[in-house]
Amino acid sequence: MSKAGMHAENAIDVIAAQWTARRARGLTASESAELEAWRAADPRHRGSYLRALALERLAVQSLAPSAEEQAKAQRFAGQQDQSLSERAGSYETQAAAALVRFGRRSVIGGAIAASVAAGLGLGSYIYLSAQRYATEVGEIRSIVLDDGSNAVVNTGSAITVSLGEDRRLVELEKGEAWFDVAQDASRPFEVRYGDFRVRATGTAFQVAGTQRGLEVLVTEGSVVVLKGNESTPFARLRAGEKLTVEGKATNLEVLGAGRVEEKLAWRQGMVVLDGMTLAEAAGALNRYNKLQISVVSPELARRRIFGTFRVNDPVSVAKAMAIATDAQMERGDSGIVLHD
Amino acid sequence: MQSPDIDDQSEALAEWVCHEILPHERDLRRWIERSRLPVDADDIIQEAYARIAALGSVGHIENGRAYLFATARSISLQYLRRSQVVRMESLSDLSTIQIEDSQPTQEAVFWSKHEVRRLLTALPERCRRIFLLCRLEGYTHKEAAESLNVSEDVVQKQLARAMKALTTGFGCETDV
Repeated sequence: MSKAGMHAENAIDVIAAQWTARRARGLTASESAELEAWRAADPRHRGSYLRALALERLAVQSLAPSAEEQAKAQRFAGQQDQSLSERAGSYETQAAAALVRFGRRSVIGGAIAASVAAGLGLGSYIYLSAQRYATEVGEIRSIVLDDGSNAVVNTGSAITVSLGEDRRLVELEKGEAWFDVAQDASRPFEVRYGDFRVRATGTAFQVAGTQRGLEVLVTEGSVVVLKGNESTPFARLRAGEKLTVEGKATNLEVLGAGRVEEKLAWRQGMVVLDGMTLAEAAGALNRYNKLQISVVSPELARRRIFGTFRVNDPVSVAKAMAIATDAQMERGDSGIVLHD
Repeated sequence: MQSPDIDDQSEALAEWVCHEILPHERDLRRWIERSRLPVDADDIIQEAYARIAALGSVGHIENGRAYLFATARSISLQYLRRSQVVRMESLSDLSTIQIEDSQPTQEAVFWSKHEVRRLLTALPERCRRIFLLCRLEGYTHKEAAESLNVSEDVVQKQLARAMKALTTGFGCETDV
């Protein structure tokens, strides 16, 4: 039995587990008698066997949750992210198998799973669980999804990926991510942020969530942006185009290949400060670093800077800013301060 | 095949335990550990399941969580009375300990599902596959063995292994 909080393996529980596995195969008459004798030998055997049967059910039911339960479970998992990643590996490794083929004669959860599958229009597949990927400040993460698509998740961002038989769904919770979508016309790839859905089949694009809207940037192919439940597209974008939505204002901009590459330099851990004001440049760098740059003089904050820098090297950027604008640079308690 | 009379009863009770008892196991363990009573949480929990398994029916139980905690309290009391050295304060502690049943059941249910997924995902790939094939897809052991090109004995052993991970691992991360 357990001592000092560590839960030692319980011999009765192990035997109960073996019995449930044998029972799944179908017991012979003599095995049935043996099981009965074991259960009768000790009330704890009976209790442990009951618990094992209940756990088996729970396992099956947890793999075939209702849509509502799934959403709540995801929120629950989100809340527990930190402790889970510290304790048992990150959530996505826990939710490793994203899909389970839902087959012919499902044992216990069949009816539930079938109705979930039908209700969501998922054909013969159900979501086992969605995978969530979250990055820390300064972390840029490249992920190969199970369908062969690539996702690069920028600093301080979070996405949840659910790959189904008839669609591939990514929820952008916050931040920014770039996707290189594997071609599969039968399963549209959709990135959702707030009220918007960015849909593609085989293409590469970036979606960034902002406070008042979103920014979509297409690097290859084309995408369709949908809003709410509307069936007519909100916008269509081709390679080199950028859509910005801020509240009611919508702006479609043609950037050209060079500018698009600059915008995506973060994937290589670089940031291109293309004539940004110092205030904007400080903001762009601060997304990636705990060491924050602040520009305290208003005049200075409006000056512009050009250059390509490493996102994780705020000291060099601040030095460059100071040299370019002839400003003073100081290391304060909270970070780097630039002033006249 | 399995004898139907035992199994019908077990099935109904197992379904009830799955929804009404398992989700609260972690909280019960925490409650016992926090009570600082000289009892072993594993022993108490195991005994509680033994009592539940001995129930003829559960129709009269309105709230599984409250029932579980009350049962655990009664078992703890019995243990304390039986033990050689009884610290008086333990007994009085026990009678004054409030049973925390205010926590919303929904959260406990989500925790329990999350917990079994955690345990299943921690299994080696082949073991998990076999469990999913047999339990979720309804493959017979023979079909699972053929589709994975292993012996039926391997299927049997891996299923037992998966179940063992569930029965011995469930609810053990109490300090999450």
